[in-house]
Amino acid sequence: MPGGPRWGRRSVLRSGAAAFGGAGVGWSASALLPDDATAAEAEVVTVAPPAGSETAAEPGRHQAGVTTPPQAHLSMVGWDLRARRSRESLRRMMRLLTDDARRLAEGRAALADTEPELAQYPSRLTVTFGFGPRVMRELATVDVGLAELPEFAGDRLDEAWGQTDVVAQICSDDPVTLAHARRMLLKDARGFAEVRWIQDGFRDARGTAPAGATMRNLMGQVDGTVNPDPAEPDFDGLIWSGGEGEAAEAFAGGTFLVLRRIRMDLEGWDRVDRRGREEVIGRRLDNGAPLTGEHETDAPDLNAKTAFGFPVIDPASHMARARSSDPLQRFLRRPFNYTVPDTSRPTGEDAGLVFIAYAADVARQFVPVQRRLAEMDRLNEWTRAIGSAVYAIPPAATDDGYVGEPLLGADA
Amino acid sequence: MTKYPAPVATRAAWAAPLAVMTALLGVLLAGWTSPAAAHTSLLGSSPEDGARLDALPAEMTFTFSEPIATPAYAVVTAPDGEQVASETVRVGGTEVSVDLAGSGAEGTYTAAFRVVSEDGHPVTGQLTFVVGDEDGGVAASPSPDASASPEASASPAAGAAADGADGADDADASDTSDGSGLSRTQLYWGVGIGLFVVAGVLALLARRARS
Repeated sequence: MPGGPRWGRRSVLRSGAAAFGGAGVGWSASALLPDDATAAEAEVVTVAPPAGSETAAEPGRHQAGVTTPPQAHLSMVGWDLRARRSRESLRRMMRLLTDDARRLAEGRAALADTEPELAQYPSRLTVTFGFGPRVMRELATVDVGLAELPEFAGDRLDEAWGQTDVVAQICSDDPVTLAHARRMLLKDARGFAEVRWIQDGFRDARGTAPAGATMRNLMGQVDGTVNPDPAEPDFDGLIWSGGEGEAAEAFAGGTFLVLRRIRMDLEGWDRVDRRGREEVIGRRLDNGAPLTGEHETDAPDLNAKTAFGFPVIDPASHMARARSSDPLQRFLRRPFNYTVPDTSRPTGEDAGLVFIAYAADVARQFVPVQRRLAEMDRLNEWTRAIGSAVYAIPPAATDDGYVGEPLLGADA
Repeated sequence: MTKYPAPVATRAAWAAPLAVMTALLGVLLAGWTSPAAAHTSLLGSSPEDGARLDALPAEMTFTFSEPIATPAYAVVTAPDGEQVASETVRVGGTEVSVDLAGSGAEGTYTAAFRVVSEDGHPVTGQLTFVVGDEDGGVAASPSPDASASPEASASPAAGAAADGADGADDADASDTSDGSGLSRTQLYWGVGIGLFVVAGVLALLARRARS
């Protein structure tokens, strides 16, 4: 676990003793150790750092927060640049925000941090910045080929959750750290841009599920099984931009972000029985295995037939529709659940998924899959996209630079 | 709840366990009857299950109790194995229909359907009809799953049933013997009646012990 806390043998022993203490028998714990061990321990004590001290591994030329294993909490902030926007003002904004993000991710207070103590547990904090199509069209000096996402059949888009000029995906395992980091960014961006929306999301709390387990969404489905694996040879090409030419060089190591806010009709979903739910997806609810398999990662057999001769996995199921024989129609999903109060709805809440996907080429990898799902997918009966946006995610900042620098030209 | 006369000393001994058992039975019955109302089933078809026809009709229609979502699937197999249903299956409200065209072989045709209601409930089933004068066509049905009534044939397909078997609210399964033993309905009735009998015996014993 790179960058993770290191647990020495001694510290494990100490933790064990602490656990005994918690059970009210702490006095006997030292008696369990030979005298010399107790003496040695007194000299070489390493207390395991709290989980909050962990920082997200530095991914080199890529911004953190893309391939970083998803943290427990998300806050997505969408800003629109103010009317007098200029390349210079965006540069100044990004210089400030990049510096905040860099310091906070390392567990240091931001410049002029009014609550520096809230920065001390980064809890794998990452901040990932992106630019919307208008910024790329009007302010960028290179064209990286970012186009607005088309509206798909069945979308019920609300501009309140729509495309903005700038985005920050802020993630941390700790909600207090996250709130502090977001506040620092909001304060520093205030002079340059106004917030259109903030989209909070969550997954299992840190330590709840085994590391690497696929998350479950609020419909109870295992969500994200077929994500490309960073270990596979195609991975870099699927996620990171590369290639030749001026634009490609300025953007090498960058990627594109698709953000969709998907509302779930959980009251309607409540009326679907277990078998119906599994057939809608084509997967079992208990472990996410395809209906033709035993384990989550088993390859589905779309040709398997029932006794009556129908496919076991409905060709209209979400899994069957999302799959493609084209290996390029894949992308990295990094979704988070959301719930927000909404008294206009029968249960008083609006629930769904903040769908986040990264791809090197949105038009080539994401759009065909989404078109197919929009055209036919049993799951559409209970899901509805209410927000949709796409961003260019520049490569990481240089040590003393800022995110987006190669796209915004040299300082005058 | 059932009302009893004002308890007298001799009745009190059995009235209490009886009331408890009655209540339990009520809960059991309510537990399996209520979700059934929300589920989809095949109400009928044209041609009907078991029908005898002079010639293969140009169209087959299935009618369900709930509006059906697209797509729906239907396969009609002639006695010689020929697939006679068009690949295009039309869905209109509670009706699912498909065009038929074949060489007109005489004998038993098997029609299978797989649909999902708009509220997400899947229904799979199979029925048969006979074309021509051929005697004993239904009895000679090639499929062991074929059965006399559409209701009974709306049983889950083997593969799907295996995956969804733990769904305690599966109404279709409860209406239908799956061929591997007691259906859920039979089980509930059995348990309920058994409890009732045990309660009665206990009450009698208690009464004798007192007197």
